[in-house]
Amino acid sequence: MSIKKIYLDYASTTPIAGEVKKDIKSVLDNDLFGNSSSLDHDYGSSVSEFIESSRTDVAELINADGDEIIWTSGATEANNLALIGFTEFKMKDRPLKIVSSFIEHKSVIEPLMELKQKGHRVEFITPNHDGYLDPDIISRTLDNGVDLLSCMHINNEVGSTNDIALIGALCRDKGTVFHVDAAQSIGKLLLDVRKNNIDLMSLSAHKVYGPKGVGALFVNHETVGRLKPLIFGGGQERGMRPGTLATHQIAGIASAFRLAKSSMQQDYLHLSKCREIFLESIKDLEGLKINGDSNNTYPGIISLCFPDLNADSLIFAMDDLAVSKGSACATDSDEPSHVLKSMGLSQEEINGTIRVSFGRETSYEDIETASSSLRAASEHLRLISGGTA
Amino acid sequence: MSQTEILSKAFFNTDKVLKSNDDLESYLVGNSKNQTGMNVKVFVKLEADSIDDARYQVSGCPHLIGLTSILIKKIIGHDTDILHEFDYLSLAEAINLPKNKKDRLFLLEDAVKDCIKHIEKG
Repeated sequence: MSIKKIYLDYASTTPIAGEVKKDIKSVLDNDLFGNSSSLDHDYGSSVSEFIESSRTDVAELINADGDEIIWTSGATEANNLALIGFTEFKMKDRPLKIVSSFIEHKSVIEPLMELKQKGHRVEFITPNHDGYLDPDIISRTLDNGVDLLSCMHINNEVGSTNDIALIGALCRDKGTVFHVDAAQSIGKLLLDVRKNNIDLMSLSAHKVYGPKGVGALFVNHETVGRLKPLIFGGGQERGMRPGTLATHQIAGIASAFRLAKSSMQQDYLHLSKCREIFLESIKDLEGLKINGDSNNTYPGIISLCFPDLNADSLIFAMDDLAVSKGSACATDSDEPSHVLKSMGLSQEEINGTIRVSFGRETSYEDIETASSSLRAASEHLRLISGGTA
Repeated sequence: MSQTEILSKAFFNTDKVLKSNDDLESYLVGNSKNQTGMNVKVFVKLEADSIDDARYQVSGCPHLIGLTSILIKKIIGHDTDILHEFDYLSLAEAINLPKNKKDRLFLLEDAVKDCIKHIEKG
C-alpha cells in the first residue's frame, strides 16, 4: 500500500527505523527461535543470553539495572501491571490511597477506575490550564498519606511536560510509590530513574521508532520489588509477567532504545527547529491559539486550536497531511478529549483542536507544506461557514 | 466514483456556498444548530413554485458539509415539493455516512424544514 501523505502523527506512532528493522530481521534470519526458558540446550540459552543483553540495553537508557526491566506487550499493559499489580500485591488489610490526574492516558485512568470499584481510594488531580500538574497541589495531596502516585511524563495530546524530578522528590520524601507513564517520552527526553526517584515506569517501543506489540515496565528492585501478575501460567519475568518471550520484538525495542540513546540530542534539536518554523509560518492564522505552555512543552507535539472551526473538517481538508485530533486510542468515539476538557477548554475549543506531531523524518519542506495546507484548510472552512476567507 | 470520492468532491466544491457578495435578500433561509455547535443554513431562491437557486453555509464535520453540498445541488430546478419529499437516506448511502453520525442527517433535515416554514409563510 502506498500512501502519499506527509506523516505528522508521530505522537500516535512512529515508523520502524531502518536499523531496528535490520536488527529484528537478524533475529528472524539467524535461527534465534529457541525458547528463552529452555535452558537445557544451546537453542534456549543463546536466546536467553540475547534477551538479557537486550534487557540491559533498555535498562541503560533509564539508568536502571537489567533485572528491573519486565517485558510487556506495550505501555498499556505496563500501565495496567504497574497499577493493578502493585496495588494487589501491596494490599494487605486496607484499601490503598492512589492519586493520579485527569490528563492521563486511558490505560492509566481505566485500571484506576477498576481499582476504585474494588474499594481502593482513587483521586484524580485536575491539571493546570497548560496541561501539567502543579507540584504544590501534588505536595498538598501527598500530605494526606498516599500509597501510589501515577502521572505521565509527556502528555500525548498537547505535549505538556510534568516536572518528574520534582514530583519524584516529593513522593520519595512522603514515602509514596511513584509510577511514571513514559510511553510518550522514552527515548525523547532524558529520564534517569535513580535521579528522579521513580519506582515504576511504563515504556513503549513504537513511539520511538521500534515495533508495536512490545514494551517494558521498570520495577525498582529496592523500593517495589514485586508485583502481582495480571496473567498466570508460567514463571517468566520472575513470575510477574508469564508467557514465552517474543525474541524478535525484544530485539526491536532494544535496538530502538540504543538508537534513541545515541540520537536523542540531535532529535530534540531537529524537533525544536521544526516547531519554531511551523509556529512562525502559521502565527498570523485567524483565530489560532496553541493549547498548552510553550515553555513547558515537548517540541514534537503541537496542539492547535481554532475555536470557530471543526477539527474533523480541518483534518479532512488537509488531504495531503496525516494529522489527528488527539489520542489515537479515542478516535472511534465521539466523546470530547478528556485531556482538553480537564485543562478547562470550552466545547468549541475542544471541537476545534487538532494535533500535529513531528518526528525524526520530518523535513523542513514537510513543515512548509503543512503550514500552507493548514492555511488553505482554515480558509476553506471559513468560506463554507459564511465567515471571511 | 467511490463513496469517499463523492464525499470529498462535495466537501471541496464551494460553487453553491452563499458568499458575502451574493444577494442574500433574494433567498429564503432555513437554519438549524446542534449542541456541539454544528450549524447548517439552507438558502433557496424561488421562481413561482420552483427552486431557481439554492445555496448553503455549514459549520461542522466533513459529513455534514458533504451531505449539505449534495442536497443543495439535487434540489435546484425542482418544484418546492422536493423539500417535503426528499430522500435523506439516499444521501447517507451516497457518502457512506457512519451510523454514529446519523444525527447530521437530522440536522440537515431540520434546516430544510425551517426553510419550508419560511416558504409557507411566503
